[in-house]
Parts: sequence; C-alpha cells; structure tokens
Amino acid sequence: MSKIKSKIISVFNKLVRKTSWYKSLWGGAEKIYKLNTFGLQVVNTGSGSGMHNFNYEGIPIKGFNFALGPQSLVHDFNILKNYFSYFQKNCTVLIPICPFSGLVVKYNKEHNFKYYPMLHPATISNFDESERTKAYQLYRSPFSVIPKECVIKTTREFMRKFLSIVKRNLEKIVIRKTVPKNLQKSADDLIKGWKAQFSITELSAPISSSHMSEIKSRKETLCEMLDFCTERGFKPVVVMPPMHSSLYNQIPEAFKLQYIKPLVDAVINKGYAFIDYSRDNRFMSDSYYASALFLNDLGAKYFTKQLLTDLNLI
Amino acid sequence: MNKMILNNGVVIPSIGLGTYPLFGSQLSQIVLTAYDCGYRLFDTADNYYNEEDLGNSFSNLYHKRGNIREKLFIVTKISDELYRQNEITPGMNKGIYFWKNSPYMRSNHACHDIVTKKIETSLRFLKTDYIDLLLMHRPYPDFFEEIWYEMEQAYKAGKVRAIGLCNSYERHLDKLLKSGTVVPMVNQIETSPLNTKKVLIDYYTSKKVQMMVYSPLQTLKCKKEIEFLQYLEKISCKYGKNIGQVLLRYHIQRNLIPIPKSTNVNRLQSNIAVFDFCMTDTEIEELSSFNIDYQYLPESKGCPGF
Repeated sequence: MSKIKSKIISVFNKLVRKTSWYKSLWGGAEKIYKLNTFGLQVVNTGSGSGMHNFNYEGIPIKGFNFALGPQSLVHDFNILKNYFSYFQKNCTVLIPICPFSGLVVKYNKEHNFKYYPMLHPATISNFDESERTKAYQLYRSPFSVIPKECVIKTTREFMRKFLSIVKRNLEKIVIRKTVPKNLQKSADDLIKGWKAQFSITELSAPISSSHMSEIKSRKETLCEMLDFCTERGFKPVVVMPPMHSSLYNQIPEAFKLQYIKPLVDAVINKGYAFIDYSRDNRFMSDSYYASALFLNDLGAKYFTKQLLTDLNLI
Repeated sequence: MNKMILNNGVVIPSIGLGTYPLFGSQLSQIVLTAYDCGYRLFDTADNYYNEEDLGNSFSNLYHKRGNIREKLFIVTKISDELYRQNEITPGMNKGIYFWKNSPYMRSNHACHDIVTKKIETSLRFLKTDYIDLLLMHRPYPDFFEEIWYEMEQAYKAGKVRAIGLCNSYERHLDKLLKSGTVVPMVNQIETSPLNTKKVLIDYYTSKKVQMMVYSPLQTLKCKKEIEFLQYLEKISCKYGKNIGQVLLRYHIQRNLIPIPKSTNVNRLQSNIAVFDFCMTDTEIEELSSFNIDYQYLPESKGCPGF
C-alpha cells in the first residue's frame, strides 16, 4: 500500500512541477539549483533586467545567467559568494544595474523563499530555520507538503491551458489582427510602479536623505562585489543594459545624477569597467523589446553577443 | 609505511583513513582492522560528530593492541556545525559558527571562546592529551585570521603538534604569512586527475606546506568520464593493481597524503598496498591531462565568499 501511495505522490509531484504556479514559488531559481557546469567563462547577476536581457544560447562561450527577479545587489553578491567555485579563473562577471539599483527594496518573505534551497544559511537574509525546512520539503515533494493546494491549483492551471487551446483553435477560423505590444504604456506603467514602490512623487525632485543613505549602502555593496571578484581572479564589468526609448526618455537627467551616477562613479573611481548600453543605437528597434525595460529573446541574444564582442570575449 | 616530514619536523604517515560518516561499533571495528593493516593516521572533524566514537575506538584499540598512542597520528578539525543525520539536508552547513551574521558570534571574544572550547572537547572526546594535527575545516572568511590565531595559541601551548588549513587557496596562505606567526603545516584539499589544482599545489609546496587529499577516490564515481576510467583500467592492468590503488598512487607520487575511507576489509587492505609500485612520469602526466576542474563538492557552496 505504501508503495502505491509513493507512486501516486511521485506522479502528482511530476505534474505539479510542470505548472507555472509551482515554478513561480522559486522565482526562476531552479536553473541555479540544477547548475552542474564548471569552468564558466562569463556570468551575469541581476534582477529582472539581468534575467531577461542576457542570453548565452548559441554563443560559443560557457556562460550562465544567475539573475533572478526581483533581486537586490545584496542578493547578487550572496549568489556570487555561493557559486564562484563554478567560475573559471578570469571569468568575466557582468553586473547589470538599472535606474533603481541604488535603492533598497523592502524585505519580502515570499521573495526570500527561493534562496533557501540554493544559498548557505549564513547568506540568507532574515534566515528562518522553519522556512528552510518548508522550502526543502516543498522542493522535494510538493504534493506531500501541500496536497490540497497542489490539486486545486494544478487542476485550475491545466483547465485554463485546455480552454486556451480550444479558444485558439476556434480563433483560427476568424482572421484577427495581431495586437501590437504597447511599449509606451509599458514604460508609463514601469515609471508609475517605481514611483509608488520607492515613494518618489517626482523623478527630478531632490533626493531624500533616506534614499541617499540607501545609495551609499548599495555603493558599498557594489564596491565589495567588485573587489571580491578581483581578489579571486575574476573580471567584473558593470553594465547598464539597453532600454526602450519610451522608458529612457522618461528618466530625467536630475534623476540620473542623483540615483545612478553615484554608483557609476564608484565603479569608475575604483578603476573598474562600466559600459552604458541604455541608449546604444544598436538596440533601438522595437523588435528587440518584450517591454520597455526587458529585451525579448531575439533582443537578449543579440545584446549578449554584442556585449561579449565589445569585451573581446568572442 | 612511508612517512613525510612537516615543516616543523613532525613526522606524518603518507596515507591515512578518513572516518566520515562512521560511528559506533562499525567505526571501532574499522579502526582496529585499519590499524592491523598498517594505518596510523586517522582523520576526523568536530562536525563529523564521531570524535567521541573515535575516542572509544582508540580505547578499544589500546585495550587490544597495547598503549600505542604515540604510534597514532590523530587529525581533527575546527568547523561550523552541520545538519545532522535526522535533520533535513544532513551534512550541509548550518552557518552557526564563524559567520558574522550568527548570533553566536556577536561578542568580541566569541572566536576565542568557541575555538578554545572546541579544542578542549576534541581532546576529551578523542581521549588524548594532544592532537597530532588540527585543521581549520574551511577558510571561514569572516573569522579566518582570528581562528588561525587561536589555533596558533593551542599549538604554542603544546595541545596540538601541528596546525593547518583545509580547502584553502593561495590568497589564504598569503594572508597568514603576513599576519600569522606560524606557517601552516598542512592544507587538506580535494584534488584528482579531473581536478588537478596544479598551481595551488605547487604554490603551497613552494612554501613548504604539505598537502593532504580528502575523498581521494571520489572520481571513480564519475561514470561519464569514460576515457579517464578506461585509462585507469589500462594502468591498473599494467601494474596488477585495482583502479583505486592507481588513483591513490597518483596522489602519493604527487607528494600528497590521501585519506581514503572504506568499511570493506579488502579495500582497507588494498588501499594501503600502494607503496610497492611506481607509475612513470608520463603516466602521471597523462592522468593529469584529464583535468576539467571538476568539483564534486563546490567549495563556495560549503563556505561562501571563502
């Protein structure tokens, strides 16, 4: 009987692992849990921007994207500390920054959950032993831990998928125009969202003292990351990835001076490389963008290839 | 039994027995058998949680073979805590000691207190009044020099005959050469033909630090490395040895001290029967040519930021 029970649980676990709701628990971190490639020649850290804008597929180099969304520089650093044994000597470490990299995002227990199966306990913020146990149990056998939730959410998801397939098949009968992505709206939404997230009413207004101290703290983290890389024989390069003009044009000079320049100056003053692709002509085409901040697959592969060429790595 | 001499004149056997994760009567039996096969070096650590059982094993050994403490070479280590066998992810690091985030490390003398206590506990558990070799299990980045300082004090006080490091790289040795007063005698690392660490080994050797190898037979499990395993078979046929013996001999000929673990009597015997043949320099080089920098236990995951 217990063998049958194990088999049933195993089958359900396999189904659950294919679902989006389960994958969303880990924020894309499964790629890191499964990492088994040593001698990496180039890696990138980063948050959503890093996750979407770097793609090493088809490029003749051993690269890996450690970016997870959302993720702060502190977490980028913790990932570097845990995974640098996978890098070859002279590995290039790409550290992407974007407009709000200098500010601190409030601790979120849900976002922190994904780190438990992949980081050493000493490098997990607000480490909680019970969360760690839950994370490992959930990763190993979700159906054993939350069977009711697994059944409900998995069933819902498969039903939704089935219905969308039916709908798509019906729609083939009707000729429909493709709805163009609205990058302007995407940019507007991003700016609105950031303003709310970081309590900024006006981007060109003078920076608050609390934001100034956050930027100082993030600057220190960034400098530590750079020194950490050099001390271990890696080559760090700080990069601002491309963004769509609809977003770039909404970021005033005053904001760049107060929120981005301090980070950039810290990098340059320490003698490290910083490359700004935010307004690079090669990445202007709408066809490269999934949103105003993130490149699509085509754009990410193209950008990654160009960046590695600019760095003489390929 | 071949021996090596450490940079402080202490004589160390050329091969030893690893004891993780062995406990109780099984460990006792293996220690007795290993001793009879010729093993004299026994390697443990505070976070193997078997020091007490090993101490009992030694008592059993003295009872059956006489007072032979001076013939033994006991190696133990100062470590962070690990999750235990009955906990989730047993064997993984807990992050309790030697990490600045840990509440246990908040006081100014935390490192002194913890290292001192650990050494006293090891001595008590191992039922000895001295340890032959005490190692820092990992180069814990937050307290690396502080831990080494405490180990130096224990060395100067005569509680340990030699002190050293594990899993350490050139920059760690450089730090201690600048800030420490005692040059480490040993660095215990993982290395193999698939992960030769030649530059590291050459550097430590140039500074007169003896290298030891843990999990020296681990690469026999790398079934995907077919050409490597086939080459081992070829060499083993040539010399009439098994592939484990060829691998151990590879380490010995690189002047490293391997510490294989086995619970099988036949393998205990064969693992130490590696001093009666010698591979050619070409064979050693060919084995080393399989290097792919493979790590079966990525070091940074066990000790982030090391």
